[in-house]
Amino acid sequence: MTLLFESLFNGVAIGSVLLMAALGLAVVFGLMGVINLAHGELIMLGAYTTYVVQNIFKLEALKPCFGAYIFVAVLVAFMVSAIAGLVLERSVIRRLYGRPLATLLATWGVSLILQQFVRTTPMAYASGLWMTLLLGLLMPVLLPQRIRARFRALHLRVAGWALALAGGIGTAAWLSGISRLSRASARNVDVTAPKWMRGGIELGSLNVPVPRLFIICLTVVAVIAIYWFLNRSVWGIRIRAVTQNREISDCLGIPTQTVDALTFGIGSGLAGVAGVAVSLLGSVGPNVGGDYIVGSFMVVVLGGVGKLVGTVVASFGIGLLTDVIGAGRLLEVWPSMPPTCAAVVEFFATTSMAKVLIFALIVAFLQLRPAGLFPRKGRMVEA
Amino acid sequence: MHGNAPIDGSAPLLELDGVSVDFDGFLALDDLSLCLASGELRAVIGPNGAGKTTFLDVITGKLLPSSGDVRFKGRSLLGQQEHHIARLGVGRKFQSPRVFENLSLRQNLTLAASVKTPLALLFGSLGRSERDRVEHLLGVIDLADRPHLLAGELSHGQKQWLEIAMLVAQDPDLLLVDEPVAGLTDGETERTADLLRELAGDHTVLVIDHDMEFIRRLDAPVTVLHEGHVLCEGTMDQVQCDPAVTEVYLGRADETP
Amino acid sequence: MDSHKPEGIRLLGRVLPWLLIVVLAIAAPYALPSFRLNLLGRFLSLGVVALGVDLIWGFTGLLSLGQGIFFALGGYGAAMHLQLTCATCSRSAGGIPEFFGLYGVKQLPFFWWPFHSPWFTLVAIWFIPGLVAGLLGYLVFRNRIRGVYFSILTQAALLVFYNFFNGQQKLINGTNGLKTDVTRLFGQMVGSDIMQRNFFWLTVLCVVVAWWICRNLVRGRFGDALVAIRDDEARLRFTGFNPTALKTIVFAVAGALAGVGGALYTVQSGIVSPQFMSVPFSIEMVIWVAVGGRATLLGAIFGALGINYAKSLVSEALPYLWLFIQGGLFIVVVTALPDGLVGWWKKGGVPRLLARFRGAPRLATYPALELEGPDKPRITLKGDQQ
Repeated sequence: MTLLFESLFNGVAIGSVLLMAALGLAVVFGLMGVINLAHGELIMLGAYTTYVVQNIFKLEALKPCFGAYIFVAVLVAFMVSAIAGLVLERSVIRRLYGRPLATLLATWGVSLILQQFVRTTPMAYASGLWMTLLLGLLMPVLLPQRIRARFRALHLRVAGWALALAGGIGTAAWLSGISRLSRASARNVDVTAPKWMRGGIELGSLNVPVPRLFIICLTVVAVIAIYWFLNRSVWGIRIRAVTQNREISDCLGIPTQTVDALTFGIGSGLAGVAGVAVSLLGSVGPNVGGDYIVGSFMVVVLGGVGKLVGTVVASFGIGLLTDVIGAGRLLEVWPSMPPTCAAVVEFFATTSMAKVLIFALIVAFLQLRPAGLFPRKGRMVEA
Repeated sequence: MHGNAPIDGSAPLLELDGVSVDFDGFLALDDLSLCLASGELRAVIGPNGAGKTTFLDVITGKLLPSSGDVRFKGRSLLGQQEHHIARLGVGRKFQSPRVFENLSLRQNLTLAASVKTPLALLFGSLGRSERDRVEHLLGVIDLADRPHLLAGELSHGQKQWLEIAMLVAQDPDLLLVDEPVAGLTDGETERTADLLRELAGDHTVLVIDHDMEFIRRLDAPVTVLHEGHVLCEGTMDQVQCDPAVTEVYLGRADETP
Repeated sequence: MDSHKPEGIRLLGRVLPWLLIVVLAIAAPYALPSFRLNLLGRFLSLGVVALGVDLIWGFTGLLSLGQGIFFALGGYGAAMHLQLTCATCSRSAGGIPEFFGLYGVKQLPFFWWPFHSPWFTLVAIWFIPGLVAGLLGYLVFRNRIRGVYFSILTQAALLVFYNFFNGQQKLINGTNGLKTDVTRLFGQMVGSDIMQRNFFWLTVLCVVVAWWICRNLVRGRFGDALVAIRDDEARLRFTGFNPTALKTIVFAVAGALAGVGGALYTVQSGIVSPQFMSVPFSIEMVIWVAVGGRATLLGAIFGALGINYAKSLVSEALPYLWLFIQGGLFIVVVTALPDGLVGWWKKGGVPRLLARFRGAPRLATYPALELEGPDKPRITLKGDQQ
């Protein structure tokens, strides 16, 4: 019984990280059909953001509320990755709609650049750059109507970006005061969880680590939020309209370009939130995204494209299987199995070999159900 | 069975027997039965959503019907792969023209005329008759003087014709032609009708279209589809006088083609 | 085609490039320092791999991100043979390669046995990768998994192989890989300058043969069918072709080419390791072809040479810069130069560029009328038509 519970919990924990990472992908790939190989790097940005926010909260003035930094980090990470995603969509991806393989290659290029950027740029400067982008993009909204009416558009834009740049430089200068953020380093960094998050909670006979619990809660909230957003909010309905028929949506007056940017921004933002989760599980490095990207693609393919339910079920399914195979659970349940079987179970009872077997299972499954767990039906399916 | 038996008593080339297709509760085809005799030319018309394209999908193996049977030359086509059905002698032209845009005209036609196995493609050479057929067809579509033009550079009408020519190059027994004259000029439409009439006899031809003038020019028996089943059959004049057809086309004001 | 030219000039035009290649290939080992020669040889073996990538991606439109699997399989095949036949290497108990001893393995794993034979190895370095590619391809294509799904699945497969090879110390020495440079072949050490020169020539020969094979594949109707798959696979199916068979064949050929390239690369770099199957390396292969020009065979070879040469130059001078450049290349090639350099050249990119500098008005005619003009919007796919 304990074993079942433990296995279940581990599976759900692994699955929720997968789900968190795949959620943004499900939005971007499932709804827009855009393969974003830089998704992993957006996760990485989120993880690094957590590190930066944590260091800011170590300053004297903020020390008393250090315990709450993780919540701030979730918000900031969402915004950091969302803005990175927006810039990516505006500059590269929008030129490549309808050419999925080209998008795939271009986003790979972006991911290389982002990785190298993180290796070579001090986090303080990176934060400054981000602050510039944030202020610059928000400037038209932030400025009072009065001022906007007085100036010509070009002047206003130049002035706005100048102001944003100043803000960015200020941020960079301020953060340079924190020694850990002032130097570039290709080495991994570690995020320390706040005090309330360390240790575990006794649940029956099981000791549940709090960070895992936190990630599960975060995932649940994110899934509910994205479900609500896509199905209930006005913009969510617009997004779904555009993904189903772009031309007609355009004719109906839906601003499709804004919808594209928004969808991509949200998908990217979710990657940022996933980054917070990832940073709680291990050390954070420039390559951290790569560990998750293929897994999350598998989730989306297995779940069936364009279905949130599929993504959820596939994540937890893969999570459970990973635990069952990777920890050799069968051997624990049935210690007296024949030696040949036991050898096979042991052979696969490592994290990497579990991945091997799970991939094989996924390919086998796709032989039976090529469109995944929850396929679309009807005339929309192009053979 | 309400599919009309062939007049001369020979076995029909194509038989659809009570075919239904169910898209999640929506019956795209509803107990459809139809017979085509060898060498026949048949026109199929019907309002939007009558199931015309679905009907071709079922014959060519793109869709598996939820019930019923499709027989070609007496054998069932159900569960066969698309390329097998094509090799048996069923050729299809798609609604919007689909040609291989990065290949030249001659390459397009040659590919259609070739033996279809990979080994034959690699090591075999094109037979005399196939080569002649390709050259002849280039003439038929009026592009004999520039066979090296890429198909992607053709105009819409030229693509339509190229696709019909590819269909002929394939030399199937049954030609399924989906909206061959959409986007063609009147002159081109007439010539297309003549071409299809010429093909009938040696081949069996089934034409789907919306253009009534074109259908009339085909001078062939007409089958009217409506909501997935056969509404009526007869000559163009008979069909046009049929009150049921008028109602389907005109009765519901917002559904006129 | 060139009937207006005199017979002699035509012959010369046909023979001259080959003469040039032969002369350069013979001269290179004497003109270049051994380090550079070794690099050139390695890059040429990557050219063989690039030819395979071009076949499947450039012509057929299948973007495989898993070519590293086949590359590494070829490399491991060669390395296993060299490990087994190494007379001077230290051995662990039982006369098996030393690393086995470190993990307490007493007996040679069964799949090592056939690699004692040089003939088996010569066949295995292309046959096994080709077979694996064919099987994997068949399973995927059979279900009509296409486009980005195919790319994702090949990448996942790559990761699986990578994990497997990394984790299996007892079978193939895990992360450490297999070394090849101290084995003697024909009395010479594999890592020696003389042997490396021979390998260089062998590589040149392989590139030429591989190019010839690919050229024959893409020239006739088979090549047309591949392009047709790229254009409209479903249409091809309704014409009576079986795209699954065609794609499986071409994917297997590409896998075999990658295997040969991997074996050649291994003997020239002196080691094979699971890093051959790292995710970035396999995607890098695509950029060689993309820069050189997809659907042009020479473009693929020169792309592989050029990019890798640039990489080694930049990495020597400014190591941190290369990834930025590579990332930028991906973006620029995809958005601005979709046909690559050779494609750009063939479509009259140079005159167009010059015309733009001179400010000449650009032609704006209906493309179908502009038969020979520079503004042809479609790519010419008959790669190597002279």
